[in-house]
Amino acid sequence: MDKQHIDELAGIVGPENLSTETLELEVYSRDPTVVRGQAEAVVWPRTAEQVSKILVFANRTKIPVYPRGAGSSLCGGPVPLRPGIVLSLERMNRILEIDVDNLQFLAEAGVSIREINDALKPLNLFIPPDPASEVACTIGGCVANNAGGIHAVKYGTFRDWVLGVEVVLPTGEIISTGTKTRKSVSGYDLTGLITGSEGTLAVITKVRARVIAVPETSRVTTAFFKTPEDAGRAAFKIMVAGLNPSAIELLDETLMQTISQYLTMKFPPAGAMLIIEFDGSRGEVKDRMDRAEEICKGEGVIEVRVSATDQESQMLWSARKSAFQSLAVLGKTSIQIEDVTVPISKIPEMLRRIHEIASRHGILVPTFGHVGDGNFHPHVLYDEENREEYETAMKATEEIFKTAIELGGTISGEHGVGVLKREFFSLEHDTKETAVMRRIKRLFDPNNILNPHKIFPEE
Amino acid sequence: MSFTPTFNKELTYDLNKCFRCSFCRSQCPIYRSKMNETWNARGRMMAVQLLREGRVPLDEKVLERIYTCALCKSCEEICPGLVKVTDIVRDLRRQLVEAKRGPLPEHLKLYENITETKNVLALKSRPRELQEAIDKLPQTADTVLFMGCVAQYVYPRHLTTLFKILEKTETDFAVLKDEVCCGSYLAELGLAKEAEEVLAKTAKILREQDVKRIVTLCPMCYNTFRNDLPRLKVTPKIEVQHSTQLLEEALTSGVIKTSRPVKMRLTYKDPCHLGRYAEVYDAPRNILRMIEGVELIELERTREFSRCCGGTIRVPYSELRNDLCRSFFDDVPKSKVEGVVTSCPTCFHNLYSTAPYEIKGVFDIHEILGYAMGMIERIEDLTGFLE
Repeated sequence: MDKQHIDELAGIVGPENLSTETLELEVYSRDPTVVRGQAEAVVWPRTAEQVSKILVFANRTKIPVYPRGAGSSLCGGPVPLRPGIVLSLERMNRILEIDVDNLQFLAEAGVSIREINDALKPLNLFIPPDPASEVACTIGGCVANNAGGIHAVKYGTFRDWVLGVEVVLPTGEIISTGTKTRKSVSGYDLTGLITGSEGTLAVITKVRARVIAVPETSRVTTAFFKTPEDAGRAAFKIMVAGLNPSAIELLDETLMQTISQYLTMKFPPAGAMLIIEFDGSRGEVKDRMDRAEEICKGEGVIEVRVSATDQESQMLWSARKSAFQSLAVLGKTSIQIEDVTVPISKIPEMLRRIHEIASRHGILVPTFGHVGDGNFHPHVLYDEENREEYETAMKATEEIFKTAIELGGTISGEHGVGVLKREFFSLEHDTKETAVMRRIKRLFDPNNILNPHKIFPEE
Repeated sequence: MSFTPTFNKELTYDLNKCFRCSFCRSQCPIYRSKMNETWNARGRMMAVQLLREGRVPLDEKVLERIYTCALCKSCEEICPGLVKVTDIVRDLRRQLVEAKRGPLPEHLKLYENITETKNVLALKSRPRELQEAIDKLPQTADTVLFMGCVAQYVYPRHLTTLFKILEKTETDFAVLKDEVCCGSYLAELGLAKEAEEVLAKTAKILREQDVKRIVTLCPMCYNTFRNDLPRLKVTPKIEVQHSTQLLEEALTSGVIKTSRPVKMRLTYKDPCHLGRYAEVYDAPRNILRMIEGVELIELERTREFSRCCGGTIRVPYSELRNDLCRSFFDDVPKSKVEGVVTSCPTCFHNLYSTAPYEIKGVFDIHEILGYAMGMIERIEDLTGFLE
């Protein structure tokens, strides 16, 4: 980009909303992953009209544009792979409307999930999908990546909550999709198409989404099993029995060890633990918890701990919530977090095979999973400065992907493909399906200027 | 001229542990003001890494990011990697001084102030009412009340009130007649040697007077004596208490009692250096709970998530402090809260100077307690709420 380009951009957003400083360019060229990019300018538009002008400019000059929310992607999604413009939505951060009567809100793309839930809390409402980064990640980013989280097993992902979006197309048109109603079958589901498109089809500037009442109570049961397979089977049976848990999380033995060290929490010697949460009305929750306990007993549970109060629930959750922090105990600097997902009947096998891959390569892959929906997070650990260890970690990662596909699953349940999983994309999608997707991309973005070189393997 | 920071093994490990997750965006008060990642803890840690990799030069922009970290530790409360962000920033500032690339000229003025006047504010003499009260105190005692620069020279009433309460607790205490700044400002700006030199002056007197206990009113002084004084190895072990801890004990054991109600809905603002740094969250709240009439309202962001007032941000960036205070007051539900209480003279100063019209007052906890004990007759701004 030359000075004339920069001046033109500054004319659109104002000089205070543009940067070409080395430090800013470097910082905005990264996300949590190892992927590095090369931003030439960072812009912070304040309105959809400004976003539109930026995209018109980009189309004319063929300079790529990379939309960015909180930059918390775990797949390199917002990284500017080619010299171009990082379009940060963080200054479009207003909640525009909370429509209590129709149980929905309208917010600009840059508001964080936590901020939305903080605003909904006094009204006894909430939006249920809760990615681990909910304190920071933005509603725009969550919709663009169709984020999930631990409660997806009951409440689904953002796709299930979005009613409509305001987006700017790569060619500059501002369009609004969807309606204020929960049901709508008129025309193609553009909202659905844009949800999960990883910022490659359009820049989301506003999101309208549904909310629901906070459940009367939520209670947690923790169950310890001899083997991960026992735990996996119990999880599967709880699902099949229709007990509808709001979360059902599995922690493997490595994680139990790191957590107990980190929180000085005592666990019985076990091969895996399940944390099962039920929410709803008090009586109903109690009933479902009792039935879940029975199921666990039938699968050779070693010990069951049940929370009687909110405080106890929180304490039992603290084990899960500290799972990631506790990995610090293992002393590795870097973590590759994957999100492979398999059909729920394959949970025990997937878990067994992750451990088998880890031990074959002699590396650590502590794993927890949203097992109610078959979504695993194997954490492949390595030291960034140790090249050999890094390569082994990547090899193990590839094997994990292949295993998930072999079991009928997906390479990504909730993080997206971005850059990191591009090379594995064809494991899951054949050339004909990929060709349709590429045609859709070309239809939206004829000049390939919006978040190019993401999702699909290089042609 | 290039500058490549190098850290010891522990801090290098910490720096590497920052995997740029972005959670600190939800906490960093400077980020909230700037809405630009380079002003966030993550951005600062990346800046350090980029300096190490030689990908960014040490220019004015980078220095700005380094010196505007409020060292409030808010980010550390949410950091999944438990990265010691503030230790890294402090060490980086120390390295800048060693490499003669820091601190900023304005910062050196603070050191000059202390050498010339014994206080950071460069004030020549204490307010008269405080000096008179000091003159009545014994020359030495087992307990020394360390007064701190801000209370001594700007808010003497906080101290004179505390003197009166301490007398009631029958604590024999003295102050250092020639008290020298504890040096915490200097340490936080990376002037490690200068900070040590300044603190050593106090350490020497403490040893000579065989002091057994230090009580501080300022949370920053409190941390200096708790953490830095033992490192000098000049004094034998000295107990360090914050005034609110001592007063809570005295109230709980019944040595002192409150007699006058304060009918007010108050919220307590945790000072970063007392809360996140020292985990003293309950003592000040318990004091307020023991005052009849006080209705203690907790903010949504409280205790470890309490907002920073920007107290450690120095010139030339002090205008950021107003932004941070504004952020704090944005979170105060004006319809529910009448006054804000704090136990730190610096927080008091910043909040007092920026409180919006709807807030009836910003109060020092010692003054509120002094009033409730009938020891002082008036607190500014409190008219109409007392009795």
